[in-house]
Amino acid sequence: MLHRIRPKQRLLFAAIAVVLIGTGTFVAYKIKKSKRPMSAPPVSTTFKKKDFDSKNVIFSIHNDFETTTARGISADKAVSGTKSLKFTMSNEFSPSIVKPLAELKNYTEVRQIKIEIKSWARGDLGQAQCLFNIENKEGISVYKTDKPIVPGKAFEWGTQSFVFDIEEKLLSADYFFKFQLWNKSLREFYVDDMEVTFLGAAGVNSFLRSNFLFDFESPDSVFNTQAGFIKQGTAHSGKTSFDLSNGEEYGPIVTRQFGDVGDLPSKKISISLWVYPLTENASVELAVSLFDKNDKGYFWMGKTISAPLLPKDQWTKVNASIDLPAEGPVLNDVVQVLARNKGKTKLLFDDLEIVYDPMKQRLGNSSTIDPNLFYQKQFVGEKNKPPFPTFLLTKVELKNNTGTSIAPGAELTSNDLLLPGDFYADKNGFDELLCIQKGAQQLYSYSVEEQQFKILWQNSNSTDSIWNSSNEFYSGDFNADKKFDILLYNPKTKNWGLINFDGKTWKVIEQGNNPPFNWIVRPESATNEVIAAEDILYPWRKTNTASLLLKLNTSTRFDLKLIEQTGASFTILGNIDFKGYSADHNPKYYEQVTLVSGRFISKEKYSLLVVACNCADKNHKGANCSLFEQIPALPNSASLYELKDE
Amino acid sequence: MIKSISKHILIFSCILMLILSACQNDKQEETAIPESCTEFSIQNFDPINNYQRDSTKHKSIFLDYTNAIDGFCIPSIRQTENGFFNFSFDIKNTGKSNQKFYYKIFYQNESYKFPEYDSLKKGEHEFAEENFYGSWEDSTITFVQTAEIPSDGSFHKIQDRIRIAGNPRNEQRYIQRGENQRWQRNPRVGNYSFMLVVCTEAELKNTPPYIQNIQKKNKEHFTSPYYFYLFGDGKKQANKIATVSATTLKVIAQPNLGSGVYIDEAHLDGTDTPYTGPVDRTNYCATCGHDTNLYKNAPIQQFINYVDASTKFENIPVIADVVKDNYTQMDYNWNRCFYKKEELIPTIIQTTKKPCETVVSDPVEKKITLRNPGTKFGEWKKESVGIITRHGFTYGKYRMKVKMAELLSKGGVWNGLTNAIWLMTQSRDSWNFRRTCNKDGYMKTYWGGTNDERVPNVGYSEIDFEILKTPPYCPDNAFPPVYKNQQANNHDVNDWNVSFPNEITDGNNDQITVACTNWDMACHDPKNFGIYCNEVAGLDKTFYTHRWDANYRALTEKKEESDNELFGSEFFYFEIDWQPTRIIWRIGPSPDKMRVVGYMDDQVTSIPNNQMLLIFTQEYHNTKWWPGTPYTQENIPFPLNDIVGEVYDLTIE
Repeated sequence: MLHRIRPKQRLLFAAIAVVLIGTGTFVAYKIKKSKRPMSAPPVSTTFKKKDFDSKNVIFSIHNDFETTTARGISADKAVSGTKSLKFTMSNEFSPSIVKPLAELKNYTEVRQIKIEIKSWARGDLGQAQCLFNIENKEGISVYKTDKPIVPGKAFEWGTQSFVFDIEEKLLSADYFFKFQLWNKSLREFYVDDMEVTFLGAAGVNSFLRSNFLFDFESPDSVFNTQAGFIKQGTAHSGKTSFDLSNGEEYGPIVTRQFGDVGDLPSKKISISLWVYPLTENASVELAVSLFDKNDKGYFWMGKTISAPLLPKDQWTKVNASIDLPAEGPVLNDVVQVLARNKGKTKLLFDDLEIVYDPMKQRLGNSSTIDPNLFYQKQFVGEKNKPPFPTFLLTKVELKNNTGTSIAPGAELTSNDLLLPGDFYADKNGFDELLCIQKGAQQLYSYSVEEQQFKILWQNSNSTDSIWNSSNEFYSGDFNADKKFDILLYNPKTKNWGLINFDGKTWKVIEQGNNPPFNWIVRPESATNEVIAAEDILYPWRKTNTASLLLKLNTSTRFDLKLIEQTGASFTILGNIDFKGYSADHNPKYYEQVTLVSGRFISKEKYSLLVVACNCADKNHKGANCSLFEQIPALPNSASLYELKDE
Repeated sequence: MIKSISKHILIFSCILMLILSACQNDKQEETAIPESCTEFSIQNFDPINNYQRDSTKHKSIFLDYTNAIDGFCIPSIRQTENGFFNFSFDIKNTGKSNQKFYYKIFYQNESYKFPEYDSLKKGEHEFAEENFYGSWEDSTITFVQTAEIPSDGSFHKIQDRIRIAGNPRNEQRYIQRGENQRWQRNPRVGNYSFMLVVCTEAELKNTPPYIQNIQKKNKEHFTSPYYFYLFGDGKKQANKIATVSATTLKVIAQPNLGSGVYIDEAHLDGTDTPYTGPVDRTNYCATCGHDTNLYKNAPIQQFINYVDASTKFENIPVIADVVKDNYTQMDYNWNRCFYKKEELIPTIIQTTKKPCETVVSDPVEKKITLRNPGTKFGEWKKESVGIITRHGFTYGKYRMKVKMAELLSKGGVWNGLTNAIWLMTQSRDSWNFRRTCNKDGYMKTYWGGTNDERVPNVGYSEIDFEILKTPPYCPDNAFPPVYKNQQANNHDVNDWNVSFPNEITDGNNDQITVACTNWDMACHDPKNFGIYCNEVAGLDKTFYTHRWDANYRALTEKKEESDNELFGSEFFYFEIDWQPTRIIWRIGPSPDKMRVVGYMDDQVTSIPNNQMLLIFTQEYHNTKWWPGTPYTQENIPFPLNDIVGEVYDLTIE
């Protein structure tokens, strides 16, 4: 009594709802061989295909049982050669296929295992299974799963594929992947040409488009053969739509290979379309068809929406979401999405949206923390392992700080090299900020009285040899004279120079060739369990026994952490986030962010200058943007942040 | 409701006409004009002459919750001098000799009843026996004999008393361990009528035992005395007068929310199994706890949601106040996209470990305050909170004046809470079984899957307001919404900061979904039982119902409303009008400005007829229960601050 639970069935229905809902009907077929159901919409796949799978195959094993000496090898029948593997009452298991991951050069890229077999049976195979087991080097199973073996047509050879998605946490060099067929119900049947393929995440680092909107406003090669239907007139958006006012049955057809839209085959396809019936009794079907590499259709499903949900002379949006078969699709397969004028009435289509969803999981391994520890207030974090607490940097209000400008006439970008240091002996002990831009340099200092940065020095002589673009620049007290220097270093000639600011200009105080090895520390030389090669470290605070640093990693996201260094030991203290910014313009959301920490507004305390910009470059990788972009929802900015209550 | 009253007036008018035309001895209004039959006349029937003497014939009474946990009495000892309604009538012996007469008084709830007469069947309505009618609590008292009334041409006053109590037929179903559990069939709220029946000794002998003693059945069924005397065989009796008084009594339940919150220590984990673990009583106080006084008098109990282990999910490691900090869709998108699995926080939706900590009954302002506690690093939790009434009713118009938590930020991001006002069965035991589902039965359990066994009777029932951010399922052209994929590419904002489909935002970030649900346990009896989206017409409107499939246990309607209006104002009203043949969901800023947001009738769903309790919760759901939801629970931050809700008033009438 008095408790609240939702039936498990609701979960179940949540999963299937997307394909079963509505008076709009879903029809699904698995197309066998070349037969097509009478009203099936698969149309055509005749276009030049790419070979995604071959790029994606990391390793494959083929067993045609011709040379195998295992129990059950039979010459009764075979697909290839003369032998196959015969399962009987007394032959329960196939020989195992075992692959140590350590033998695969690119084992960390494995994302999917596909097993294909040919089988022959007289009838039902009972509970026959394809087993997949991962064992560690001690032989202990760390993961196991299975899929049922389903016979094809009796007395004929048929093909069946089993696809297993692989989580990254299972990709250890110590693991062994084992595959085996189990004749669990002890039936008699034959298996031949067993092939195990390790598929990788082809193009995992290239972000493929998987969301598409076709508004029919400009020519699109996708509709080359249907261009005649795209006409000006009534449109949901813009001026053109897909015109079926002649009662033509087939509307826009979008045909692609899975490899064009993802590094894994889609598991679900969502479609939306605006429909404008010109007459009564409209009926529209949104459908998906799948074809294998030989253009053989093997699946289609459609959702039909009919009157009265499609009233005449008005735009109505129709949606469908279609789950694709769990087994089977590979990157080379062709997926065809189409909108069908099922009622063959007069109507217009516009704004076709297609989302190809591989239903990818997040990167990383699941947390093993027991949630009960939180509720019992017994959670103790493990050193250098998430979750970490979050420290919030608060935006410092600066006068004349608008957009990317930190002082009048001082526009910064995230391409700029920003070097902090107490370069000017003005006795306040604050750091100045040297900004090195292509063809121009400025030195800024903070005025406590005016609460703003001011330009202390600037240079726009692009031929100035000091600021030669072939130089690298570093700040610090390199010569131990208790003054901040700028180190110039030409990596090609290995020439170096130290310059100091005298209040008016920069002067060379030392120079040479091959700087001392400890002047320029490359991050990769200091990597450890906390610091990765691509990390950037920023000084933050010193205690009697330790140094606090900020660590930035942008390889997968803007990931800023506060870490503590004690001798050679590093400890992650927490995540750094921001507050006080306007609207939702959190610096971590920007495409290119440059940070510089310094004692800009206090002699003791560090603050962090953040220059956050978005970049219009195609395939921008986070640095050296050639064309900055002003996104209204996320305007570029330069701001100063500090950690309060340190 | 106006329609309902009109219907009752119509029924009474019909009754009156039938009585006048057929027998001339049954009248509805007591009057100085006597009602007569062959042997006697009566006049001045007054069913309540010791309560609200100065009021009109439409009297009203609030249920007295003092010591009422074992059942209500109307009136209570605190409401009249003797704890009964005194009634009286005058009788004149018009026979030839002195004689004794026999009388019996009946009452019946008129607001929530099936009509006694089925015009199609031309007999008693098959569900009329479910109506709440009664007489004297001791059902062995059949008809009371008067003193000998002289045949002197004069009226003689008869005086007696009656009270309304639970299980008026003393049904065995509600008797356990030898005790009559009258609370298991509490008096219904709404209007009551009173019918006086007087007859001669000879006519009494013609009266069937199941009418003389309403505890008795006629062929496995009870027969309503209202049907018997006003439409059935009793109507033909020559020497009896059955008169329905024009005086009615309106019964209203309005528990004092400042009377405390009881803690049921036996169900602290929300399961049926008695809880045997330790109880943290550190927050117990005079108005919240487990003591005898609260047990007897508190109208409210802290509600502990049952948390299924399947609700475990991995939440983003973010703590934020979505509403107050104006969490935006960009915030949601980034946090959803970029955390790695190992950074997520495995969590199960929580309930309180400290009873009384998150629920406070305020005796001064007579309100109850609830709060979903905020969370902090290392103690991540999404904790539901709720209260439940302790006195069950069948039917009623439940109206709550509440200030529930706001659910959306200005940018339209949902904080993951579901505000719920709902009725749930008081017990799944056989005493509280629903009416038999004849076609192929109910799904046996409310948690099982689609292959659950079907049984003729179940005790589970539920009627919900659930208010959250989720898309409508009907009509089906726009469901499911098409959400764009995110790509975890931090070098292109457009890859991860995807927009929602227009049917979700609809140019208005303030829309929240009011879901109205009746758990009919997939009983197929209703004539228009349907699956997927279907229309149901009522109250001059068309509503869309949705059911996933023929074995799905609940039927739902959804309506988009303004989060700011419902939860941003000082208070708002929510009303579940549960009637025998329909359920109406209304909301509004004041009782006189309520608007209908949901409607179902017995043609599309099995309306529960068992006893239920009202629940108020601010609860976290696993959004897998709500397909198409734009914000998924695991990608919504843990709450930074307490999220407070207040209940100012509950009126059931």
